[in-house]
Amino acid sequence: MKAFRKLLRANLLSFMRDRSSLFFSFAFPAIFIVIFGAIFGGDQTPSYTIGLVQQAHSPAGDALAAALMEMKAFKVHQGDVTTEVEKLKKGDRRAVVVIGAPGTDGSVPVQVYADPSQTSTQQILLPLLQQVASAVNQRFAPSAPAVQMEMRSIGVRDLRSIDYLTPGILAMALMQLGIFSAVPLVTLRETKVLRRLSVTPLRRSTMVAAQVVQRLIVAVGQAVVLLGGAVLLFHVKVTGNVALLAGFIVLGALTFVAMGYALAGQARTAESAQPLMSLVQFPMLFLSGIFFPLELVPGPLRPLIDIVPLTYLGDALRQVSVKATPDFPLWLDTIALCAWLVVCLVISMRTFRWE
Amino acid sequence: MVATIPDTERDWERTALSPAIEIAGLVKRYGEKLAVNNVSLTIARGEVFGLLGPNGAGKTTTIEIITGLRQADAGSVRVLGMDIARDREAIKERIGVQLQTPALFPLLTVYEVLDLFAGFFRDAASPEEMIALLGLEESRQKLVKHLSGGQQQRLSVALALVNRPELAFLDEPTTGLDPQARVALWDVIERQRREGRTVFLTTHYMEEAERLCDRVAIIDHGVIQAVGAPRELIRQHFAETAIVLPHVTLPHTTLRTLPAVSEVECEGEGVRLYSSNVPETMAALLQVADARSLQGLYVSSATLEDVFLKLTGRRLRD
Repeated sequence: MKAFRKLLRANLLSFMRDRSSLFFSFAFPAIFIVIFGAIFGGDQTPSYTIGLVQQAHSPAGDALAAALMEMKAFKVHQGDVTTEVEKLKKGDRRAVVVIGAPGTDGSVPVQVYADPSQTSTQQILLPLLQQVASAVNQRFAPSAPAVQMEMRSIGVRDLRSIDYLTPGILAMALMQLGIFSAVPLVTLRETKVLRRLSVTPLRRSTMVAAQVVQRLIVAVGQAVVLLGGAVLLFHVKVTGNVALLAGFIVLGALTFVAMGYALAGQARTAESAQPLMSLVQFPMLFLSGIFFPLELVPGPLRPLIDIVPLTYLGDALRQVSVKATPDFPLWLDTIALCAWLVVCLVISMRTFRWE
Repeated sequence: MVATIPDTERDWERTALSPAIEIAGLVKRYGEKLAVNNVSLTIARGEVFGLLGPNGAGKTTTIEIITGLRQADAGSVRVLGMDIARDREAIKERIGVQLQTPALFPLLTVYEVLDLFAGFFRDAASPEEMIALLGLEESRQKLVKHLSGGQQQRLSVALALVNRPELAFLDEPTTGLDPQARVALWDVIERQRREGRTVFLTTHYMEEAERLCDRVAIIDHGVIQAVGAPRELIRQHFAETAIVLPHVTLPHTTLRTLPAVSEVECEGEGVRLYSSNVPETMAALLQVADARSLQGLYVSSATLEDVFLKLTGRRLRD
């Protein structure tokens, strides 16, 4: 235990003193977030395209419609329910407001269709709509509401949102950290430090455990920095269960660490291991849907997407952190990651050479 | 009340009286080549033992087998009374090994590396103690990658001694050290001996082996050519001592008839007499020689280097 503790500390110190590893673990993904955030996160000056459906006319209903059209923040398109909701699903509308006929109590039912997983919708658009509605209510009947606003959630994929990208970039960072995690051990083997260590009572299992735990600590640190940065800078709303999120971060990191060791077993030197690892990670980056929705990937590539573990990690992190629409059920993500973990563990234990 | 003796203490009792190293009939083959050919050696507790040999003679392979880094094809190795194959873990706690490893953990400081290695052993010296022992005070906060060659060398010796080993293997411990640091390291090795520890070392420096080692073995082509105390080896292989007369005027015929002289060689203006009995030859020489002939006279005895050259046909540093 003493050996493990000291080795873990030594690994962490070495890691923090190595500028290039620090850069690739923290700065590189952070730069990604900042760039994507600058491009896609800029919907803070709100101009929302909304659909307006007037199913019946009434004084209160017409007043609401007029108020909405007056708002500078809204670009209003009028149409029928089916087309407008269809456009909402495609991402052409941020919300669809359906104004119905007055009920028996005289109040006008208003239904708002929107995707609450889009943060700007949740934070700005819906409160804005509420505001307009309550202004109308005050004008007509201060005591009883003239319009009854009701929210209808609709899952909409938001193509241009930093919310979609942040968990993906976290998945990317975890993958890189994991895949390259065996490089220090290969370097130690190459510089004969492993030989030197093998004449001390230090066990190999302790050595590997210290390396892996060090990586996990860095992985959690990465997650905190990336998610924290996205929340502070781009107001990405991380709403999911923190324990579940941490669980997927650790599972994902472990899976890719195991993959890193499995790859290291195929390479003789650290120098030849690096290109091999890059060769594996780059296709994964683009075949996993972490940068764009899976629907955009051409059909023939689909089977590859379903194999790549990054697909499942990205999906799980998106679901858990920003409550994005699932591509797969969470249990399937878990199973896929665990399966990869086991396969890579077996390969690495069979092929990693200590001498 | 019955006191139970802890395992380690019992181990110690069982093995304290056995030799530090006992190897018998050691053979290691690399393909066709016999790297180690039937090597047998016994090294006593408290001995400083030197293994000398040209590059490729089998030194490194021998050390690797004794420390358990390599398996022999035949023969037995017992270290501190224990079998290297069966008790390797127990042996590791009690030996210290310095290999010719260039860089250890380049991004840790000297202090941190010592602290790390100390953590591998059940019982170890503090980093402070090792820093003082090896004179590393000035580089204690330096990263390993910024150390000079000599400092790295001293650090690697410090790491080999951090667990206060009963038996230390030092592979060319003074290579790359300046003369001052070398003498300081000799002190460290002599201190190990004073504390009753055993040191097994290899070196390229003959004067070092002569000065430090209680016994040396000369190995070539995987075979031990000679084993013994340096003085004794020199006596065995060089029965004669040279008397050099740089300005002699006496004729060679006279010199050749002096008692105990076996050979006369020209050396520049003067001659080199080989005598099997220096006092006898000198007494006779003083009778016949004039003052001019005796000017600059000196006696040159053989060194370990000469023994080495004679046995291996090579200089050690070749």
